[in-house]
Amino acid sequence: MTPVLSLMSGDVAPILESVDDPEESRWIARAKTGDDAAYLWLLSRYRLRAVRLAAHVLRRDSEAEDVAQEAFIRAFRDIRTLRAERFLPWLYRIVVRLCLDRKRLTRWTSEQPMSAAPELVTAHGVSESVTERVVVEMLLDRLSPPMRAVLVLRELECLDYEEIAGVLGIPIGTVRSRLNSARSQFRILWKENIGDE
Amino acid sequence: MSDDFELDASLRTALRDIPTPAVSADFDARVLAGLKRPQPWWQYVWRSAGPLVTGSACSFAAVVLLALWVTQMPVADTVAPVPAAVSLQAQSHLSQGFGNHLPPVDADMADLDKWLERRNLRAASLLMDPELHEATAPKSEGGRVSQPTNDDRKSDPDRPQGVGMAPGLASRAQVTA
Repeated sequence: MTPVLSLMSGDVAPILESVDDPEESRWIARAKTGDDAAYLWLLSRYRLRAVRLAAHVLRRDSEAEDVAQEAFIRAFRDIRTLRAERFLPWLYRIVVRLCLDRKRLTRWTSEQPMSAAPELVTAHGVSESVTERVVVEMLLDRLSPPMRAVLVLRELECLDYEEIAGVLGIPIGTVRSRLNSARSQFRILWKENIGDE
Repeated sequence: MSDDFELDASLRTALRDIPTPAVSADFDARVLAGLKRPQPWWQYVWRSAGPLVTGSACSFAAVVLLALWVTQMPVADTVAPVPAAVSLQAQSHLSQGFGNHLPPVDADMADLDKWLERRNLRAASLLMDPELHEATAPKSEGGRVSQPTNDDRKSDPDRPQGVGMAPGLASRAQVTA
């Protein structure tokens, strides 16, 4: 297993592994027989990513862990149906589906209009990275969950467009348009709050 | 353009800086416990038969909608006009005595039944009907089959003239007799 790109934050596992990972294939084969050790290996490898994706899509840390747990349980129960597909995109698909199925999120209609955003007050002396983070969090709060999912899967999990389309069950063109829309909203927000400084 | 590129990089960096929520220590144990928990029976059934049931339900709904649509379609009230040529042909048939074959207007049910059981000679073939011929032929006497004569035919009031034989053949038989 050769990590191609590693995350900056903490103990989160590398974002991309080689596509054909023989070690993972072995563990998945064992997991298909119901081996608890294999489940634990997969959990230790992908637990944080599942929680992080759920937290970003839901924007509720308290529910993220529950969703990730449910996703793992479903994934392990259905792991016999996993064929040539990689485990991670498959797990992501379950996580995103569970997030979008949450009743409270189904009431979400659309992102808020930009004009309705509160004025961002940047405290003097706050580091630029913190300000950026606040802006990004504001942006995430305004996006609809499907758009958030696209943005996080692309920018944070570094999936390619085809994989994102597979995870979300949407055409690649929709992935591109959602990503463009999210980025352009971010640029507007950035210029409004940071660019004028 | 380069500004956009820098902004995209900032977005990426900031997204990665957002802290991941801490995972509780018993996360793995809870997942394993959840796996050990028996699944409700309907989940097993739904997992295997779900796509089939969904497809069947959709097909059934489509068929019902189609049937409703067909039954509620307006039916044309007017009868298609008979072409003039057909009408003329029918009139000529009536004038040639075809109307005699129609049941009387004041016929009761028994008469109608009798009338309906009559053979329609208009559709008779020019060839002999072997089945009818066999049925109407007299019994063999001493190994010979006696052919009915024209007198026999005339003497049988119930028997329509020319039954079992094409009209052309019947007239030829009269001539030869």
